[in-house]
Amino acid sequence: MSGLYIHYPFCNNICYYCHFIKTKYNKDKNNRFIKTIIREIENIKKYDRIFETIYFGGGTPSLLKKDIILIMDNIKKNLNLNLKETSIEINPEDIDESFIGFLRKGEISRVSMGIQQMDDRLLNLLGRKHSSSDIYNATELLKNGDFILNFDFIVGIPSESEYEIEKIIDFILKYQPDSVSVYFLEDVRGKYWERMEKLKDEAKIKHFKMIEKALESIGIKRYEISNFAKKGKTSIHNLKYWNYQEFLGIGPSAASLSNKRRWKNPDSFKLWEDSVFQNRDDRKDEYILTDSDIAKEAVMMGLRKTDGIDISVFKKRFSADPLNILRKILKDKKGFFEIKNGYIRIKKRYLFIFNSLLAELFD
Amino acid sequence: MIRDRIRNFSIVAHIDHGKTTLSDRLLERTGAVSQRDLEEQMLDSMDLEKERGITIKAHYVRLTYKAKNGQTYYLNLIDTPGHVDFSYEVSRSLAACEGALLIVDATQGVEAQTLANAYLAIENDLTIIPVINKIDLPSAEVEKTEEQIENVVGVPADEAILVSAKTGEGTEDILEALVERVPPPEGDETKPLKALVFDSWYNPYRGVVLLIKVIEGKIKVKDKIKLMFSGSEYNVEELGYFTPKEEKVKEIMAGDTGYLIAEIKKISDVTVGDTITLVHNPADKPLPGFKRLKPMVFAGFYPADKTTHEELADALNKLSLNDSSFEFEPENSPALGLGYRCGFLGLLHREIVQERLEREFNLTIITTAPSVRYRVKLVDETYIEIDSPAKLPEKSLYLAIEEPFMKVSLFTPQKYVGTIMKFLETKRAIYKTMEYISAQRVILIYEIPFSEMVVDFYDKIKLLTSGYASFDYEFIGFKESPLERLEILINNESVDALSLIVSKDTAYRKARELLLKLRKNIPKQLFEVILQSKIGGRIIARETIKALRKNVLAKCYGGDITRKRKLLEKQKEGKKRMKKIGRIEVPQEAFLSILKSD
Ligand SMILES: Nc1nc2c(ncn2[C@@H]2O[C@H](COP(=O)(O)OP(=O)(O)O)[C@@H](O)[C@H]2O)c(=O)[nH]1
Ligand code: SF4
Repeated sequence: MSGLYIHYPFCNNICYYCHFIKTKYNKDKNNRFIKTIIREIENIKKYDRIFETIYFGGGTPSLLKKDIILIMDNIKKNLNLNLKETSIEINPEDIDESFIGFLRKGEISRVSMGIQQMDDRLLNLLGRKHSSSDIYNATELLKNGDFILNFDFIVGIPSESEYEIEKIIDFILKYQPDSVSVYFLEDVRGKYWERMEKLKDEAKIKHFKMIEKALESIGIKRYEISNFAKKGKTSIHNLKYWNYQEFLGIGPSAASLSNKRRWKNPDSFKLWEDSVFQNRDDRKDEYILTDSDIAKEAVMMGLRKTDGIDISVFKKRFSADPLNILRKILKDKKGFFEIKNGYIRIKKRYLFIFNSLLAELFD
Repeated sequence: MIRDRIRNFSIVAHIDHGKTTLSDRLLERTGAVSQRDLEEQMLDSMDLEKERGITIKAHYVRLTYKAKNGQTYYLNLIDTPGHVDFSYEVSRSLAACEGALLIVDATQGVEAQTLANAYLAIENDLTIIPVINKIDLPSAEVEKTEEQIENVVGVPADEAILVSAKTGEGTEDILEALVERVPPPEGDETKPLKALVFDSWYNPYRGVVLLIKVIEGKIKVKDKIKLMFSGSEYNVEELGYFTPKEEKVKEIMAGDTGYLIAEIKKISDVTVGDTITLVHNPADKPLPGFKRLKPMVFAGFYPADKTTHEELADALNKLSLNDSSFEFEPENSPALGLGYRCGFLGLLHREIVQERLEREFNLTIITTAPSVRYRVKLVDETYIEIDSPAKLPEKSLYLAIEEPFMKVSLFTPQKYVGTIMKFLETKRAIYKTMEYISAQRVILIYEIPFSEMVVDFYDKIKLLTSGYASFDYEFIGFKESPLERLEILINNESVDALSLIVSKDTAYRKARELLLKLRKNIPKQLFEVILQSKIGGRIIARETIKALRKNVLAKCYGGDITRKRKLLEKQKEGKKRMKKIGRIEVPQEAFLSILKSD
């Protein structure tokens, strides 16, 4: 069972801090995208997979509007499906009655809204186009739509204080989503950012933990470094990444993992377009993975989860012992890990230093 | 006689005053080398030298010049290194010459190395031809420069030749002056052979190549020769000139210079300044002026990655093949593991060696803060020499510590005198004299403990004077100083590589400053880091570096495993130039920071 990721590379407005692959939206480019992605859907038939999840990421896939239906129709027509979850990332300003209609018609089951902050001053600072009232309006429309609802936040913005975090918490408590993601803003260059004092790590963590605590109070539990969900509402698609299961990505820059290989589509729209129409696999960063690569990468992804890695399941799947893979790291950093009930995990409070802890994994 | 038509000369100058450019002009004018080859900067052949603007290895080239008087002359241009670290080599090169071109940049005037080199030339009885360069520049101050040359160097101003190495103006005048003013070499071909070795280097295909000046007698291919100081004997395989192409000859006569190849395998088998004579008809005594160079600055070199220890040993060996003044021996530091204690002629020399290790051998090196050699008077009144603070014996075992002092000559525009003096006060420097070279420029003479100069002295002086001051220094001897050892502890373990020998007067302040510097230079770790400084068994100061709380955790699209791996690799990359002490990763900057002044 595979996951399918679709990368929609356009945004109406480019946020200052963003490093995703995207360019400014226009109708013509959107139409070229639709034509090409439909063709790429046909191209990947050759992999002969059954897809369990679909995920529209971006960019701003809510700009697809009605075309979401067209793409879904083409997926259904061309690919073998056994769908358990179909997600889309949306921006609040794009949501209206008709868009909700498109989502329904496209049989989208999970909506992840990029809220980022509830405070207009900070939203401005981030260069987001939406305001807090857009967020309220969108949420009101979405809450009756019978979608699994995810809210996306970014904390750790220069000048951010507990006041703004309280606004986020109020909002979460009011609408009680099924799941929440909280990311940190990292180094932003250019513009006024250079002149602003960065938020201290201590403050960033404090803000994160305030949100975490509020979420816990309504049964939304942290299950990955940045992800929280109610029981049974964890993202099936995202868990495929963390469980190192197969997924295919289409659209510019989309990544795939299949058949002991890992690769990415070209970042450039034009190169991607050409490669799709010529049905060439212009793969970027392609790796043919050795068994040891696979086991190590599976450890890297698995340890992002708060549950960590089920040792016996891992052993069966990868014919390798995660404790052995980690032995060098465990030698002097054992205190950061927990080995209990057949699982190995990074203690929750140390997930923030994930990269330092695992720096030597690929030595 | 051909000897009358030989001129041995060198060019001495402060860095950037135009020595390289002028050499090129002379080569070009005498048809020694094509325009294209010139671009490769014949006289500056090592990459590193080019970037640093100095010539490390002396070289020479034989120019053929048809003078206005109709005669053809052989002008042996002997290039000298331009940095104090190599002043012995400079003096040996000058000993092979009868004349020197003293180049002074007309826009800068006389500077520290102009003078240092001019004095060396005068000591060697050379005829000095002052050359005022860069007269094409609007900012050139010819008269002022002439005045300085006359005042400081003592050469009459009207003897100066005005040139622009850039446009070539004045090149002819220089060549004529070499013919007219520099005396031909003396020497008697019938006497037993005495030849001066003034440079040597290792060539992987030919073995060691020597540059020699025959002072008395003559040397022929197949001669059996003996190096009078080292005592070793060889057969002469090849003799020749560089024009700059190799031009083999059968013999070299008294007064002439050239190269010699004689199946010498290691650079350490020959020492610059040694005298060559014939085994069967030896000279009665060697040429004067021979010195065996002793390293002045020491530092530990450790591989950042333990597994490259062998490679480091190999690289050091290879470097020493080409650099007889560089020494190393194994050293085992409790904190840093296996490494090498290396000895250098000076600070620049240390940097060059490190850079070559990293660039040519692709090694990442952790170096400890440089140290000087101390003489320690033990309780039984005997002396030992130590080249690292870690080797200082227990306090009860010694009576006194002596440290090397330098006489430093600083050349500076008058307006920076106050700033410099204030800075030198913090360096335990002793004021000697001050002299005016001109209305605006002065020479300050100080005596300074060498240990105060080994880290950022040069940078500091340049910074304080916006680059206008220059300085030179010479070793004047060991003097007793009130010194003691300052130890640093990381998480309660003493780190030998961070210990220092400091002046008692400032020890307490240093102990505190040092910890602040370390705190700044050691990044947050997975574990809390406790830093302590200790003098004479007592803890003086303490600082804590809190444990790391957070890495970069920005939103990154879930499927992008490549990027996730890259983040881990970046984390690791950051650790590359760090040394693990216990559980703590200490970066290179920390080791060097302890000596830097703020
Ligand atoms: N304008 C001008 N520049 C010169 C002249 N001679 C040398 N330079 C420049 O001064 C700099 C230093 O010259 P270089 O020959 O490398 O100096 P060295 O360090 O003494 O060998 C270079 O940028 C040269 O191009 C000259 O006569 N006129
Ligand atoms: S909308 Fe999203 S993808 Fe587009 S620029 Fe902003 S943050 Fe980046």
